[in-house]
Amino acid sequence: MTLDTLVVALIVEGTLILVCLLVLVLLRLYLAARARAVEAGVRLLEPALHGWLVQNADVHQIVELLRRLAPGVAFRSVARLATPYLTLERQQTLAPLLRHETWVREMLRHGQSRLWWRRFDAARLLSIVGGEGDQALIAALLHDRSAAVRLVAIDAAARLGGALVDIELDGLPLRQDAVQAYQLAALARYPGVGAAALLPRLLPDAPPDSLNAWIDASGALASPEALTRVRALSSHPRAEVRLHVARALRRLAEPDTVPVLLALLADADWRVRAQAARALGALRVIQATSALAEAVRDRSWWVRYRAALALAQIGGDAREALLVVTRGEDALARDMSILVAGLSSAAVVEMSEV
Amino acid sequence: MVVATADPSLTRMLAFALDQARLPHVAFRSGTALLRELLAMPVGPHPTVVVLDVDLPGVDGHAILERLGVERPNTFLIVVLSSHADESVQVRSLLAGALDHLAKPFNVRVLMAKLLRWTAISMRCEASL
Repeated sequence: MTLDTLVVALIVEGTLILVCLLVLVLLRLYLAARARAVEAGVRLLEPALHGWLVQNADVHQIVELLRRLAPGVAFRSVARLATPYLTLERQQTLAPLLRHETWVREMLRHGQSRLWWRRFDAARLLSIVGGEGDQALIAALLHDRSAAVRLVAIDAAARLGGALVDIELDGLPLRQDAVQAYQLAALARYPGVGAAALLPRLLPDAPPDSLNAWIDASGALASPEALTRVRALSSHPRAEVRLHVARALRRLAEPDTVPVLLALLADADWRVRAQAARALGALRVIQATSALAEAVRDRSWWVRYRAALALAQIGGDAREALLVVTRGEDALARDMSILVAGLSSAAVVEMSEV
Repeated sequence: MVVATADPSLTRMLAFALDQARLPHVAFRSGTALLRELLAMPVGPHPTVVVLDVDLPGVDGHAILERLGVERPNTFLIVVLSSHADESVQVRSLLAGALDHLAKPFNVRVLMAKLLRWTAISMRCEASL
């Protein structure tokens, strides 16, 4: 390689680095300018928002103020204020007033953009202002090629319910765990809508993978109607399904749940027994004390761990039962009960949820 | 009343609402400063009401709750605000001594009604909750 070639390579490389640095600086300046514009938008909206939220003042003032802002700034200002303050009730009041505003229509046109971040913004805006007429666009965004867009579209779908929730529930078993967790959190914000869609799906002959996801969804929604159906699946022939049933039932605090969980605590599969112990602890079932104390002597580490945590969670006589095990002859049970008995109540709560 | 949140917009909203209700208040934006102030605060005859956002820089809300539970038990009436609505987070707040846990988005008018009620209860309490 000659010296000339090296010099040319050096110049090209240096130029590329400079261009990259320039792009980074310009991007940073752009983002800073946008953040300042949004902050100004938020400040402009705040007095009207305060009046509406605290004193029930006229909401139309907020709509008027948003018209003065550039579409992107109006959208980001609303999105920022919606997160902490706009309860579903307030959102239902504001959404129809904003939906046909020019800036909203302009932002929603980005729902079909080739750039994912524009579709993302459109999906986010739909989660705030979307109405019945937006079902087709939301359905398309639910199937978007970008995972980020799909995640945000879930919020919009859950808010509107109907066929959109069916699309979500049908796709639930195919999602990755993190997406599924977000999907369930979005559905949990509208529990009635999600529960109604789940009820016809919770059948013993449903495909097991789908059934497991729907059982988890019932638990996340904590819907008594859906969880009553889940309870009826406790004798499902597949251990995987019984495991999900045991986990979900910790959200159904009813007397009829107790014998079902006690039966699951004696299941042949250790994963089911562990989840049943966890549910009995979460529900603070005092009647389960002796069964849980026995489960601290289980041959499976996880069952011993969950049972000991459950006794600590229930407290009172159950905690006494745990302390008795610390002095028992079974070495494995003794080690586990000593470990759990030494935890603070906050640690017990935290570890029980993991 | 003490308000602690790192979100300036939320601070302004709560300040407006508390002013409307004529409730005197002081705001903090960092968990470290809040904890220092609360621990240094002399124990008066009436418990102080604290609106505590969990997501604070420095020391987070749950750590503050736990520390106050140990070092200043029965001195504060604390309502926790959080963007997490999970059962475990709510239970953790309440077991650590919070009076209530409100998940965002929360209804400001409902929060104010609760604060007025708790302030009235606090005025009747002789620092024994």
